[in-house]
Amino acid sequence: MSKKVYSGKDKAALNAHIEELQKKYAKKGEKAREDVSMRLRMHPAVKVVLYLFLIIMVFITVIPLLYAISGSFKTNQEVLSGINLIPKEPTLENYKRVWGMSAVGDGGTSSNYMIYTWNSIKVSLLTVIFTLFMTSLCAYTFQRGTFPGQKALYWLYLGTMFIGAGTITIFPLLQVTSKLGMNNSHLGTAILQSSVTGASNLFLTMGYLKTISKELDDAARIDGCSFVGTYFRVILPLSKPILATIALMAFRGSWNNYLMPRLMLADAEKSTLVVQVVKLRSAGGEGITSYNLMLTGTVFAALPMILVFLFFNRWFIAGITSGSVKG
Amino acid sequence: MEKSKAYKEGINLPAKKVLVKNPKIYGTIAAVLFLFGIVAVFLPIFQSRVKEDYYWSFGAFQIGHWFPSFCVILSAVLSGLACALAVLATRKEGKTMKAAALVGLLDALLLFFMLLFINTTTVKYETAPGVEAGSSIAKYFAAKPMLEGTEFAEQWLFAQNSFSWIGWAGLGAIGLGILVSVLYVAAIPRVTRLNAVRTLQSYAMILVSLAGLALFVVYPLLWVVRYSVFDYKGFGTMSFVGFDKFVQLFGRSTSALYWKSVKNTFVFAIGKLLVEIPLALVLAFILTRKLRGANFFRAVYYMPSMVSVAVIGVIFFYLFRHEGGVINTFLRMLGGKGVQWFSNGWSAMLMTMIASIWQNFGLNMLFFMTGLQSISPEMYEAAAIDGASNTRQFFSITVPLLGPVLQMVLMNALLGSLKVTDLVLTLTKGGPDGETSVMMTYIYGLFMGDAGVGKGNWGYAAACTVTTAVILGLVTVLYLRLTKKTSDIY
Repeated sequence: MSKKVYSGKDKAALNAHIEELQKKYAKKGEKAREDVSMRLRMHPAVKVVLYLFLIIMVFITVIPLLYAISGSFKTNQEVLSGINLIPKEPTLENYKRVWGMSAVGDGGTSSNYMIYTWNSIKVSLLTVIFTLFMTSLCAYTFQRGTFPGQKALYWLYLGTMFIGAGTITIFPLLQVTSKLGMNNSHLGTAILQSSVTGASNLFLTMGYLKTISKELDDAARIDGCSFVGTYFRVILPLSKPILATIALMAFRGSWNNYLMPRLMLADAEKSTLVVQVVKLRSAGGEGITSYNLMLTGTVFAALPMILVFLFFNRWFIAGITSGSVKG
Repeated sequence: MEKSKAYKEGINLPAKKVLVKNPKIYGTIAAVLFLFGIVAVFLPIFQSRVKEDYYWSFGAFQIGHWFPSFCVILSAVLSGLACALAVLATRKEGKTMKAAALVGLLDALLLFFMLLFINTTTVKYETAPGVEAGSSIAKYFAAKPMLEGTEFAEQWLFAQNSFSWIGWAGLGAIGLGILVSVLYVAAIPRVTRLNAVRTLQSYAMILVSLAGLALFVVYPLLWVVRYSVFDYKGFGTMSFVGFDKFVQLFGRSTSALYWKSVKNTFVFAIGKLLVEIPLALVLAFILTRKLRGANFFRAVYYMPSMVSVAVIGVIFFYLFRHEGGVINTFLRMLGGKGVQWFSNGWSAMLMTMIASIWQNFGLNMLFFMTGLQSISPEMYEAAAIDGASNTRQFFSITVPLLGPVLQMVLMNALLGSLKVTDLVLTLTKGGPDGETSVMMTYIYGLFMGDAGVGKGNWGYAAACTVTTAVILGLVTVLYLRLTKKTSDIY
């Protein structure tokens, strides 16, 4: 766009021109702003339709969970016969039975749901500790460090994590763990879980560390702080928010994990909640599937996580959204 | 990852003593040690080349002469090259150093592979009386001293003995070489002592994670690669069959079940994403408008992601029951017929998809909402001032700016769906008749004798695993490329 050059003489002309332009754009801008707010404001009819859609989606989301909860208050007879959401004769019998029930197909050991719940909590907390330790150190070193082989190691880390983590290599994995004596131990399970599911956490933490100014590091370094010292004195205190998110995610991941605890923890009294709930699906203990007990089990396994979510949902959502775009 | 400014320019630190004065010496020592180590470790194999009449037992299997010799020659050439480059690099840094490092890495990988084979103490000869297959060589000889003197026994003894002292010495030399080369790196003139310490600290800090990675991720992958060239059922003879298992996997009709599971996986992933992604996108569009209660809706839609996949499998198992199940009753209320969800292939697959969509649409919605919210409203305002219509704004602002997010979410979801395991295991167990069996559950079944597949041959299962890993790897590479693109934009 070529610009007109106004000399001193044409000052009046210039002023006039500016005024004209201002008027023109003020009008246009006003209209545009109106347009934008109109676009956001929506027609009432449209709004009604949208809300209807949203509410239907809420129902679809919630109903399976509600059925699980309502089923846990019914007798098996009632679960099998009808689909009413509100139990006719609500009973706490299922909870009493499941809470004190011994493992399926595990003749009379002392293990029950109280123990499974405790096991789940224990494994999850241990996993959280190890995950925090490994992820934050690794993220800091890869983000801030400069050492030979850094890129290669980083790509090795990411590449293998994406392909190798999980089910396809679970068999050799179990051989390694059994050689290390990690099988059938909560500590071993926690170590395994935290070292296998690291890539997304690493991404997330590194994304967060990028937002912490490097000048802080340099300042610390000039003041004579070592690489490790900088981590403990500068970065760790500053990265608490993301670590809280990682801790929540790790807790969720471990609590909800099915395959690893199932294969790692062979003894019934060491088993975790989710594993035992799934066992309820295949055998209710008395021939036919006891849906009421099964659903009670699912409530035991799912409710703590949902409660955690209700209390901390901002943290979860913040973690996911900060990690997704920054990558 | 980029070096900080201060690092590049060098901080004015009080002049400290350079750790090591003469890097060249250390480079040479490292090179010599490496060479000695490699030769020492592979000496037994050199011997096999000499004794033509022996059929060399290389670790756990017999493969004749060419393979180990080839590997050793390659390894020697590579390590020589690496050393030469490393010495050169003392004069000239930059690309040469990188090349040296790369070659060294290749060599190390090769070495690791060879050690994997050498260190194996499983005895191939199940015919050896009184010793069960799979016990260590020492046990073998403890049980069968009379075998000494026979040709095979002599050879085993030689292999063991030679490895026991020369081999360990070689390994020690390699370890020492690594140490010296660390010194050597530290001795590169511009690196101050502080920087060397920094480097060592960096390594120390990722050591735990890397150990976990090596033990629980890399080793299992190598294990799988290794077993994919054997015929082994977990007991009995273990024989080297080369690429036979892959030929079986790609060529013969007996592998139909695997390919069916691959097909099922992609049908599942693509079918479910066709619903899940648009749904998530629409919801994200609605919720980024100024609506009352948007936070509430957002939280509710995300809630299913909190529940364990296995537990969801159990809950949907109940909901989809044929007689008196919730879904079927609804269908009947709407005037339809109940469906035997678990006994038809298509319905079982559909059911699995529904459960998965139900769990994941909220998560993807969140991703999209972030993408949409990161587009600043001023951009729309500016476009409106320039006279762009709503449609024009959508196609010229929303689509290009959301595009990378869409790509990323799509690839992430695709990768996640290809890895689906728990849901299938708890909901359908791959049934009916393998119609919902996916790659992961099929392989799991091959190894564990679960999920209705039946325990199979380890070699075959390993070949399946390698193929699956390659498939996942291709998707991953695509994913990482796209993520890189995304991070370029944001």
